[in-house]
Amino acid sequence: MPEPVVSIKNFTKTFGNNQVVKDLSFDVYQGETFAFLGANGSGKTTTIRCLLDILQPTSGELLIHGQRYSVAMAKDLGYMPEERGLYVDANVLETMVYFGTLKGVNPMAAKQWSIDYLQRVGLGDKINQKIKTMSSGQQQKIQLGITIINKPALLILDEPTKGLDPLNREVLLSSLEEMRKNGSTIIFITHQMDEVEKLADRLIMIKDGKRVLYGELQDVRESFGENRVHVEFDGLFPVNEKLYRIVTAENNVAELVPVDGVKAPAIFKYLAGSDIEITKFDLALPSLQEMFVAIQQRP
Amino acid sequence: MRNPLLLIAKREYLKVVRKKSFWVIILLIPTFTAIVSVISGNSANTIQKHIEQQVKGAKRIIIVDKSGLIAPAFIKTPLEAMADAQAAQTAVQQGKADAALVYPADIASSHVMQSYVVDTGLISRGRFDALGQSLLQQSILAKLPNPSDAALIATPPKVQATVYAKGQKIITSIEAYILPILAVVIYFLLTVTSVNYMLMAMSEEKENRMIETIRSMVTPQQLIWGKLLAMIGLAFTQVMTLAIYGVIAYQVSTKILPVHIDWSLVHFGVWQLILTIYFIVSGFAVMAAMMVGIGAAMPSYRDAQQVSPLFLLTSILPIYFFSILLADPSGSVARITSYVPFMSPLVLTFRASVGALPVIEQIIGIIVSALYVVISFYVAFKLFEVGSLEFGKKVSLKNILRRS
Repeated sequence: MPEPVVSIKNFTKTFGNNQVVKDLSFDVYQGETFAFLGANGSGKTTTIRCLLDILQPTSGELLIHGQRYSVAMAKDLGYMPEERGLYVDANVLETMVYFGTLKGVNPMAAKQWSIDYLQRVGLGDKINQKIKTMSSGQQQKIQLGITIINKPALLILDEPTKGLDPLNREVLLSSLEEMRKNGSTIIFITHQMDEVEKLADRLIMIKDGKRVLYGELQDVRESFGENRVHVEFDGLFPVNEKLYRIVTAENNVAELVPVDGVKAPAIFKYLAGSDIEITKFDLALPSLQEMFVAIQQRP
Repeated sequence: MRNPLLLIAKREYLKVVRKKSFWVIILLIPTFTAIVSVISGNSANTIQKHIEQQVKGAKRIIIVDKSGLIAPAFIKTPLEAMADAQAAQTAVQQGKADAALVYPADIASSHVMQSYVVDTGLISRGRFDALGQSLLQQSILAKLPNPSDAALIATPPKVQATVYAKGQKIITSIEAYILPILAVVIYFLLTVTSVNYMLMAMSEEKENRMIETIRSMVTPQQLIWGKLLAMIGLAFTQVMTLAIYGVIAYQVSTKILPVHIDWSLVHFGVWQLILTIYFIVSGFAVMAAMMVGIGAAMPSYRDAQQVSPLFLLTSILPIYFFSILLADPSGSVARITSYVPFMSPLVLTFRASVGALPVIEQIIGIIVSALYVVISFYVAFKLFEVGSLEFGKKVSLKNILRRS
């Protein structure tokens, strides 16, 4: 097993009497894109803030490459927080170079990289413009530029596409794709499940500060309790309450929910031995969106 | 890697000094004060001259002496003696005389005399009062047997005072107050203008929601000390600019005005100077720390500006009872306010600069000032820790305690 880039072990965070995160553990490995999911207020941002030493954990370990985060590691980190903004009275290039140098990039290199980046994202003519004169989408591009100016090995993004129009969202997602190809490890918080399905290798979902799902996307979907079996058939569909519950069975199509502990092959074996003729048998996995809603609605 | 603290300091410093308003404020306040002083002084002179001209230009001033005190020898044109007060009053009423001055028989007991005057405007209605009083004074003095005695009373002698403190002769001229005045002015400037830039710098990052991005790159200590370093740079720039401006203004004013400062009389000890600088710096640090806390605790610069005057005004409050401090720099008021939070730096600065701090009070003052600096920075860091991530809302005491 490779050493994790980010390792969170038994992390708990309490504000006064309010336990925001409860005994949370997960790892993120080199080069993977990792989605961090959960409803608003579930403790995602608090976890990231504690990982980056912006807040102090109540207990547990939050490590990057086996160490507590310190600002000396900022040269390899790109962090785009949920609450983000810019020095609105400053000009674009100055701001980018300032943040580049704060992260340890040579000022000349930061300047050249910024000019190239701004041209790449269609802001080449706004280099010396004041930030306050720019649109919110343009400002988001600058924020992304500031985040990746140091070509970070670890990228942490809290709702990176929040407030972006579809066009700018595509620009951002393709930048992330590029970062991933270049070997960066990416952790991103999002409420957009399609982004997770498109980008994530693995994910964690938390509810009320506790881990409820964790692992590779396919494994998580398969392990989710509400898997369904989709059957297309000819004949009279048999009832078997020991194996499955029939959601619907009409027009030669049936949707079945396996009883707890029953796997799809057992159902297939049973149906194959029955009087019906099976023309199609699929394990219909729930979508991430369905899983998210189902989990968050659980009492 | 370049030092983040210096990068922050450089950015904050350049951000402010590049603003025209920074230079306008530095130069405008003393220029405005000087212009107002010149205009005001000039106006007073002009009015005085105008009144004098009106008195000199009077054609007929009637003197009615019922007291018998006025020396007839002094009544020369345009003065004219008259026995009937009513007739004198009528003459003025009819515009036949500029004024009538009536000395009643009981003036010695009543201490009141009458004047009747033709109106020439609001500011010159009492233009003959001094003449009336002077005429009486000169008449009485003229009765003294020795004219030189009379002259002495008419023009009292100058007093050349020699003052001793603890057996040592001290300088009592204006030169002795140059250091205290400079110290108080510098403290005032630092408090009123420089620390405001600190408030602006702290509020900006919170208001623009940049603080979390920055905190992932630098520690709160680097951020705050970086900004503080920039503020020190700004304060130094202000003081140096004002010093240069002051020297030029002094050179110019000595050529056109009767201003003379004997620099050989400006004395202060090294320890006195160190102590004065220590109290100025500690007071500046306390105020800067408070601005850090307020900037971090309030959601925007505008909100922060509503709270900061409370601390700023308290810190310069001693200026409002400065005459008491000046009259008795070691008195009860001075001693009590020397240790009142926020007020103490200004009072201690002044007392140290005039040499009115006994050794025991110097020690207490040093300790108390250091303690205030430590407490204010502790509070500031705590407020920053709790408040800097509370976007769009004020930090409540409950929240501070909850998050501590």
